[in-house]
Amino acid sequence: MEQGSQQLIKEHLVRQFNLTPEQIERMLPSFLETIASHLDGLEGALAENDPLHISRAGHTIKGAFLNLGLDDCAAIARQIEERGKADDRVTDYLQLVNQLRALLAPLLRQHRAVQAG
Amino acid sequence: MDKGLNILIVEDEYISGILLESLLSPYGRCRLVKDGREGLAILSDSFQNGSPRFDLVLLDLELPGMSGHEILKEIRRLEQEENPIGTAMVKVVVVSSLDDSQNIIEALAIGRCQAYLAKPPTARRIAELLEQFRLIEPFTGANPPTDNREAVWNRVRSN
Repeated sequence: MEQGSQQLIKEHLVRQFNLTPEQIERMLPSFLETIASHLDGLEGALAENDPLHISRAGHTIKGAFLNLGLDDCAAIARQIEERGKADDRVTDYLQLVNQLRALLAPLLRQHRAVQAG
Repeated sequence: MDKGLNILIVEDEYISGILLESLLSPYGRCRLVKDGREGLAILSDSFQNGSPRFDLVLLDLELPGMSGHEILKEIRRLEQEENPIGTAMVKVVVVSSLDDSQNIIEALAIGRCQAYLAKPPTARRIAELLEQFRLIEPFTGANPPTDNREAVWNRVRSN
């Protein structure tokens, strides 16, 4: 799925969770805030340089991406999770997180514009 | 109104918790907690006082501080302590990603949980689980509704 569209996330939430448009409108802003917060958490884990912590942060954000139908992002998060779990200290985790930020930038920009009114 | 199921959801990730609650709330009262220890405290009270009696517990396997396996083991210990000869165990569904299959198999194999729910869940899968546990009457239509509480509650079996 293209990662930059709230509309696609809304359609996914209808298909996957059978939610009404009103429920989705109410939930989506807090979901996007949560994604931004998970990204910060992931960067925080990188700063600690602890693969297990990185793996856990990767696992958390992977689940969030899958819920929203952001499958490309979930695939990157899964790589982070798996490599961290394997105590991989060679992988450039920051580069993977930057890939996530780039994929999510249009979506988060759109969200912030709506919030700013 | 005393109608519907009592469901405890233990999930630390916000989006997963809210979506699970949305899928399950049409069937009754959901209590969503983020912390395994808080979930255990609620269940401990429930076992001691017999109220509220939980029909179902959904437990994320990857929780901070205490793993889902540790929590499951503790649930069964508390249950045994309060009701040593009892055979009725609270129904626990572990919730996890499919690629966490080793953890799921372990939880099922040692008999501490009754089923698993792969992330991301669906309204249909939730209905199947509740049907499997005989907590609701089978649905005959397409997708079960999630926004019509009365219609869903009418399918909840009276205990």
